[in-house]
Amino acid sequence: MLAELSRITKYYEQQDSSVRNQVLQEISLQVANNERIAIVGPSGSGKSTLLNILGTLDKPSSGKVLLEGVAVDQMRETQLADLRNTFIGFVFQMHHLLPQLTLFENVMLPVLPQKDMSASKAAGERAVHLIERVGLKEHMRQYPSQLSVGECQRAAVVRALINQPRLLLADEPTGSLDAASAEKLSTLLAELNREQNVAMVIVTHSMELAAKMDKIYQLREGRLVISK
Amino acid sequence: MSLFHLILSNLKYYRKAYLAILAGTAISTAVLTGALVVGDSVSYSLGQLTDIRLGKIRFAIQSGDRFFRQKLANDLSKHTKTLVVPVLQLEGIAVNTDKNTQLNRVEVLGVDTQFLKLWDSPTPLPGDDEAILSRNVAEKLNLKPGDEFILKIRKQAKASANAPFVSEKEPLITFRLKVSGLADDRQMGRFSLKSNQSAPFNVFINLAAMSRKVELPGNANVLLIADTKSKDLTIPKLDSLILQSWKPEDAGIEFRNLSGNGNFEIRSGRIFIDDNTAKAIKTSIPEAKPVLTYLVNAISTNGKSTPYSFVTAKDSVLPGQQLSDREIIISDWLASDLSVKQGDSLTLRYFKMGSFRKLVEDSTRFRIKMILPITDPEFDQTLMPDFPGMSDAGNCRDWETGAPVNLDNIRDKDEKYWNDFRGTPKAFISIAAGEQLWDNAFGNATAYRFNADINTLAFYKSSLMAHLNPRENGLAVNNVYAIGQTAAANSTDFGGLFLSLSFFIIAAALMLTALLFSLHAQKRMSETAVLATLGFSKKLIIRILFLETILVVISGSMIGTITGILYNNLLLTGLNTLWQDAVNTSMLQIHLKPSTLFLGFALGVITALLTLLFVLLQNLRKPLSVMVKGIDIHSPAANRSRKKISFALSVLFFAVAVAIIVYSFISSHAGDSVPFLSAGGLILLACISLLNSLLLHASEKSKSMLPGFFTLILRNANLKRRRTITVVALLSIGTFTVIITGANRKTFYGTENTRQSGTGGFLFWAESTVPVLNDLNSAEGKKEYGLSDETSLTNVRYLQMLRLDGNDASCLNLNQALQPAILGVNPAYFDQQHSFSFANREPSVRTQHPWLALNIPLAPGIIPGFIDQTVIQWNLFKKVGDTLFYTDERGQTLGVKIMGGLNNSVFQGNVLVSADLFQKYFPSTSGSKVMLIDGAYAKRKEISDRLSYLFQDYGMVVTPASERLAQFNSVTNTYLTIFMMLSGLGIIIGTIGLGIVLLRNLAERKQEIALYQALGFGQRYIVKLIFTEHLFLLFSGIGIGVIAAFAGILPSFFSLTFQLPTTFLLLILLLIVLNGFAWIYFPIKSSLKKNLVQSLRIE
Repeated sequence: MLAELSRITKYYEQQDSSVRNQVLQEISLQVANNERIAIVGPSGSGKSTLLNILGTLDKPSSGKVLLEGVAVDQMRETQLADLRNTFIGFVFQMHHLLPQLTLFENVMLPVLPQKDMSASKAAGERAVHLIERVGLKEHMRQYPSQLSVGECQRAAVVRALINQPRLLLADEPTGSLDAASAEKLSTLLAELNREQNVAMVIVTHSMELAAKMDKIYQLREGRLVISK
Repeated sequence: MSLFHLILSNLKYYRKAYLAILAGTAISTAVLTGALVVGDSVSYSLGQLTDIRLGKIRFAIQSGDRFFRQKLANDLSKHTKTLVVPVLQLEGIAVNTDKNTQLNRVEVLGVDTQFLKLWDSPTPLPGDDEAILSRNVAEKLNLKPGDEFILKIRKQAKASANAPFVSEKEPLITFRLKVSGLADDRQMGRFSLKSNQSAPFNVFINLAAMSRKVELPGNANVLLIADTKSKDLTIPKLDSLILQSWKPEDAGIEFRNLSGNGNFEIRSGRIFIDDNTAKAIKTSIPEAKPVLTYLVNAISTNGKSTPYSFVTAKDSVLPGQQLSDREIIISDWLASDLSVKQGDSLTLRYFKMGSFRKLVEDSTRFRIKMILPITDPEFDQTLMPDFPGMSDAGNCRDWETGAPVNLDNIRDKDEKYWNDFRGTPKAFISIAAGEQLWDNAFGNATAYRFNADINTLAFYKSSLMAHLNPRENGLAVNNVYAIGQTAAANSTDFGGLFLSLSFFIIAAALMLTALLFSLHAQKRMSETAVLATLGFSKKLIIRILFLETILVVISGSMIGTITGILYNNLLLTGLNTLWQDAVNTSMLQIHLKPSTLFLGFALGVITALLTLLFVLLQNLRKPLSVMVKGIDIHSPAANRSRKKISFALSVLFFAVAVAIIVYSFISSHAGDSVPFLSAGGLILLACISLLNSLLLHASEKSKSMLPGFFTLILRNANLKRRRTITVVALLSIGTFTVIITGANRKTFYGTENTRQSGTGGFLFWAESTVPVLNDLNSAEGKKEYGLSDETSLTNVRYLQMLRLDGNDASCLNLNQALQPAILGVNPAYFDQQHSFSFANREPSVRTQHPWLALNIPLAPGIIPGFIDQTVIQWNLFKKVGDTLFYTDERGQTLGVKIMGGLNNSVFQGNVLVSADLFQKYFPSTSGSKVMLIDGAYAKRKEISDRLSYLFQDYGMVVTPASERLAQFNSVTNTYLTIFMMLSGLGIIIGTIGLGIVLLRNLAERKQEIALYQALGFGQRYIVKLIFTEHLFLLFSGIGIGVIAAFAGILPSFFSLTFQLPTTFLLLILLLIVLNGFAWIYFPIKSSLKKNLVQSLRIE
């Protein structure tokens, strides 16, 4: 199994210390290679928290996260960073491109932590290819402020895929886009899933996007229920 | 795409933020570097001044009122193979009668051509009736070359004016001189052997002419020694060379051939042979017998009396017979005059000399053992010492004895005796009896007599010279150059001083930099999180941000270092001009040391980096999931724990502060400002911690439905708590500093003349060039100086003090005073009057009668002393309980243990000891050159005018004691002014911080404000809310600063002489408030003019 959540629980303390805000309860989820999973649910149901835990950005209150069978809870910060750099790709609701870098530089940003210089050259070629693939070739040397939100979001997807991750995590990737751009991005993600052999876990409110996934899970009252 | 490229892109994109951080770093580095360079510049300038004032001089001998042969310089020079120069140095008064100007305490220097060789650009030697003036003398007296002026020099005698029967009728020798030239600083104008940056008032005259005029032909009292080319001279080497060069005259002694048949005697130019010399004579010439000849007022019996006769104490008057202590041998002349015979008794009446030439008459009864004819060889005219004013008198009525002579008692037969036998003694007593009767501090023999042939005499001479110690006879060599350089090197640490004075501006600049960086880091929080999600480890992210920061910090520090040089130039210009009161010179030069510049740069980089690294790590502590959202959320549990920690810290700081205050009061350390300032600092921290916990408390779940207006303000302040606390801290530290500074300004409020004040309640401080020898409170003293007939001076009291010259240790001298001047005072008078107050005392010093502690010697060679606390701390770098070491008049080490520190007083710069103990160790110090004068305040002008007139020839300057105190205060006040100015700059930085926070808050809360508008809140309410929020920051800062400052100045409230400068402080606080108001009001007004509802639509 590519990724696995086992009996994940997450709670936050309330102001009154005797009460805890239970966000996730005993959640288990398995993600297979190339599998596409959508997680839907109402606002505040814990979708983003679940995604952050799977992406090692957050830690569960209890339960285990296994990536390719390896538990991440004992990993050091540098190991987790390495994992996020090579194994996982992230796409957020906001594109979070760095305004000080060009589109190409933004895409190449994840290559920077890698020590292997030869990987950098290959990544550069891959970046050009992927940028062309998402239709942003002519914007390669432009800054995010010169691009539309949809173009930025596509660039963010390319950035997430530059190190050929095995798992792409997307948190409301179409949330800030208009309908046409959202549709375009949904299609792109589905295509890239096949082309890049990358599994996807997407948190979304968009049923159109969810419908393009292999499985749809609903997160309600902290529990995950499969609906497709 | 490389890391470097990313960093450059970041720097370029965030250039505005980084420029602000760069500016903050540059300010703190500039202030740091500037302060350090000021330290170097002052130290270097003082070192340079040592070179200027000493020329080629490296060693010097100053024998004060002991004189040696000018030829000793030649003799010594043959051994040292270097330039050795004799100088006759005396204090004098210079008067320009044309312009009616007078300058007291002028250094009159008799110099020869050799002296001129000590300077690179010498002036021609003045002729017999000429003088070269240092420029400042010429300026003060308005003289130019070719002009004439009057110079008055104290008449010098080899014998101490304090010694019995030494006359001091005409204290001054006056002569008219023509100004032949002016000496610049680098010529010899600044020549002085004292380590002081103030220019001396020098008058150079021809040595031969001067020594003739002061009746000391061929004598000198200063020997200046230049270094050899090989620089191999040392003090021990010079001591040994002096031993090879000196002659009996240099030790003040003379071998006299009495009768040509092998009878010799040793006499002293100082009349009495001191104990050290006596000891050396006894060792080297065992057969030498002491002789003590004394003038008695009367020898009387049975109603008959013979006035003013010399009586000699000596043994071996009658071969094989010893006189017992109460037996006397008299001449037949005396026996006849008194009609006495062998076995009768007679009484000797004689004076004993007390302090200030106070004469006490005593008498002793003797039984006549034998009557010898006046023609007997024992009645030897040469037994009478050479009393100046007596030996050369033509008749008894012309005697100038230094003791009252009742001319009515002198009969014709007495005059005849004087004519026939001069000072031939009329009687003999035993030496033991003589020592008992006429014991005095100058010695118990007027001669030593012995028999010797020519060869033995030569042997005795060389043996005696070998047994005498040149150091005990005033010929102590000092490495004046090394002392000067050490004093300059250990001078007031201006680097440290200006670092302390600039502390707040440095702290403010750093806090502002931290605030700006924190705002910048918060702005980039989500970017940081994105990097983390892309696989950038925290280490790598920190590296990127650190490298960005270090580039900015290094650039800022480089700019700061250069700006620091300009800042230093500005400070030095200030010190040489506006703030000259603080340094007493205008000769401070800029001196740049690469090591100091690098230190300033490095300190700037390190302090900024540490500050920024702390902020960076604080910001990166948040979980990635929180950072990616770009908002700062604290978990309630963490907030609760922070609140508890803050509250606990607040209680802890407060408790420690209270403990320090209580301890200081209980342990009588209330005069020490450091514990109270520390307590003030702790209270400041306690209040800030309390505010922090209050903000955290306000953010907890409220039980009421709607939060109140104030709760809302607290919650808003808590939203950006770190910013809030930083701004409050900036403002509170600023206010604290300014109040402490303002409250410590020394100003008079009519309390300056109370007994406990720094004037001791005395009206005047008077200093004279010529010492006043008599006790001015006695009838004789008043008569002597013409005070008896002055009605305005009837109830005036004079507290005359004895002074041993030394280096000025007051705040007017920047150099470290290794041996400050000593003043011998009358402790009983201060005790009766409860004069002055103490900042610090040894536990053994009684609280009720502290002054009496000065009367009790602590151990052999150790006496107690008091010094101003500021001098102990800042000039001597000592503490109460430490001991200062001097060499007494006999060449022995004298320790003065500091038993107490006085509160700021007119004595600043002097060590106070009991006059009685002073006289024991420095018996030759004749009269007083310093006195405090007590009298009716209402008559102060009259008293001052009359005393100045009556003591005009003594060069007396009568200064109101409060004016003298004000002169010292002006130094402190100048420093405080500098501190206030720098703190003021710091407060401006603090309020800039307030403005930046306000602008940032407004930018971040644009939507919140728009929402208020959309919900129908009126503009006035919104302005009131935001205005009050920021006023809360302003007043919290000021309030905390005020509370802490009052703890810091707490001991001052218990001082009788302290009065809080309320108006001044209120004015300063008003300025701070108005400045803060401006920084709040204008940004709010400008921001709320815009249609903020638009920002809701953008959302």
